[in-house]
Amino acid sequence: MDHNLTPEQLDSFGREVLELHLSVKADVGEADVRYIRRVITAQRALAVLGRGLLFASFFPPAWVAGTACLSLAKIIENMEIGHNVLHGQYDFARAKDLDSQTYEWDHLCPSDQWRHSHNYLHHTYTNVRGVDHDLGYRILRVTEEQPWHPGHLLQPLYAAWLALSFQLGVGLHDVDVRRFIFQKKSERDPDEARRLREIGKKALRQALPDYVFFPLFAGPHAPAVFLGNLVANLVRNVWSFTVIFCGHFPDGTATFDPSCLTNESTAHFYLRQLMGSANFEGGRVTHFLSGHLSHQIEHHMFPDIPAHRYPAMAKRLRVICAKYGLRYNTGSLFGQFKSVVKKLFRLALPGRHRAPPALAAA
Amino acid sequence: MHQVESPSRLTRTRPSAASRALGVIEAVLAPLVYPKSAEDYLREVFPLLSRREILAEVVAVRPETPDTTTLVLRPNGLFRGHRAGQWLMVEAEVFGVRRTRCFSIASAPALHQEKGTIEVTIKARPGGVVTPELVWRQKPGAIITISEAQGTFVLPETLPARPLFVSGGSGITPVMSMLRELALHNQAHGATFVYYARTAADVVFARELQEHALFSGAEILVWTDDEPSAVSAPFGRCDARADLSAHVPDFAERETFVCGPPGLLGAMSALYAERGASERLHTEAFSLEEHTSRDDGGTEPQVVFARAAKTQKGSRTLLAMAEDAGLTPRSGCRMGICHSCTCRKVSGVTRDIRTGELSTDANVDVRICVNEPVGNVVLDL
Repeated sequence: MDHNLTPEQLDSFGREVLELHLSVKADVGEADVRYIRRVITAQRALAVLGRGLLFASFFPPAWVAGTACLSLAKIIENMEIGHNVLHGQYDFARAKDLDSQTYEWDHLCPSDQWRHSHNYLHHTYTNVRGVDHDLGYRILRVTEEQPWHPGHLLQPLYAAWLALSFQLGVGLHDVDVRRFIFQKKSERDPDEARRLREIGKKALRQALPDYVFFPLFAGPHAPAVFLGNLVANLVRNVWSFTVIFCGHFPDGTATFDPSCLTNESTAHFYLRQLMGSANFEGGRVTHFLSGHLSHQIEHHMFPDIPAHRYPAMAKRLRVICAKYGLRYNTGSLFGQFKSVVKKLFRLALPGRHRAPPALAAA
Repeated sequence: MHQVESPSRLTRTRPSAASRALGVIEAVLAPLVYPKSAEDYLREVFPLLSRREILAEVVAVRPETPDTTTLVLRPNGLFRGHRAGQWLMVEAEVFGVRRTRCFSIASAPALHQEKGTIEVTIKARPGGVVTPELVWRQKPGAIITISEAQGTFVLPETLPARPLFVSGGSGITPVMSMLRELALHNQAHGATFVYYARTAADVVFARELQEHALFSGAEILVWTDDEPSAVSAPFGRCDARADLSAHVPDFAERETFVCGPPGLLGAMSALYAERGASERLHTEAFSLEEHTSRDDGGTEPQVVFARAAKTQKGSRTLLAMAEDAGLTPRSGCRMGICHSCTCRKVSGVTRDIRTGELSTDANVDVRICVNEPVGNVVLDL
């Protein structure tokens, strides 16, 4: 891994980060539970309001407002509530409705599969080539170290499709779909088949209210309600795609060889998460709607800390990074996204992607 | 003899019309709110609504003594009533963390039948986590989760003729429920109520005991160490043997209900055994929560994997010990990040190897990859 720290410096960096981690962990409690419950109540109110307004969609502004409310409700449930609860950030509360082991989120990926593919694989092996499937979701070439093949020529199109169907892309990324399709039935991994069946079942139950039940209830306004629900789902997909892609793929994020995992120390783990992740800046609303994944660096270093605390932790972490001369990758949402899009286009062709020189420090 | 309506009979009644209606509403809404339940949404408006959990609203908080408070609870329809002397589990949020403790119900079953409320009287345990919060910080309006009433230390359905109640300290609560039930059914005359408290200020329900002495016909004897309290004629150190012999000479012939600290229970058991009256003695022990680590240095910690019925000795992480025992628990990062290995600890103390933090509560989830046993631990694995 590319950094200029001596083993002693790495050690002391690790200690300082651990201290930050534990000091915040010790402070987690009542205020965090109150916060997430307020968010949950607001999210439910938005969902009900959105569905209600869509029933009044004979009045066009109601359609717009309803679709907006429903989009927000879906985004908040996935990003600030679901993703964070499933990480066990609120497990300390021992409350049944905030329990990572039993929470079922409004996402196509069943929670238990998500805990494996995301909490375990992605968060433990972040940006390790060949192990972390989030690195390109098995279809995109996001680092020059990934070998090129002609299929990558079309990857800007794949990426656009992934943005629109992000739930599906993320939901399936614990399944090697391509291999599965071309396999003979007898060769298929029964566990993979079971996982696919579970995803299918959940996808159907999730699609029914949006595309059948609510439109049916709306009677003559069925098409408007159907369209509003469709748009809300697309908005959620595109927003999640944007947030997630800005978390690990902007210029300056490092990928790693599996060899770095042997006997990895806590300090090295923190450093790998720092180098493999990127933040984007924004106001409180942007941070909130991203489920605080605008602080992807903090999220990867401290996945068990309630995410709404990341902005405050970031201030302290940046001081530590500056002290050790480590790059803290952040930029505007637009800037980070632009660098991801450029990279996707560049890496569609064989050869290396040349990052702007200022970003090569990591 | 007067028959008190027994809640055990209520348990066999069919679900109420309201509960059935709620079931229908939930079934209709379920496909619309998938993967949430309709209850999740309805509870935002009706906080006590549930078909699965007994929820109760704290409708009043009543200080009794400087360190004792009564919480008046209004449980939802799932609570099926209780018998005098029973206890229940209270799951309350303390500093954001759900914690469960057991408390005796101090109010009479008749109160729940008539007004739909029950009362628990709680003493703040010095150094405790939960009780000081409930005693000094609990606000009316909070929603807590409770269990069904439990326990066999109850007032018999056929009321005994001249019952004797003996209690010490916070052990007064279950026998207070019995006395109140008798008084509400005009059956308290002939009953004797003996209570030991440290000081006059510590006498719980002092005013009410005075009223019982005056109006319900029960004989109330309260001993305190320091000075006579408002209700106590005699005073002096607790000596159940001498006190009963002097003031309740016929105690061995009376159905006796005792709740208090181990010393009191021991003395009473010995006394009744001596008189050959053990079958008339009914006792309830209340043990203080065990918070200290049971690590006595010499013995090797031991982990019992309850579901697999296996035991493993050692002091490595619980996950490593489970694997040594031939189990294959779910696990992931093995460094406390991913929560894949989270598992229920039934009892015992564990230590987080990263922070040194001890987990002493029973029935909580622990990440077995970063926790080691301290003393004996039972895991639901």
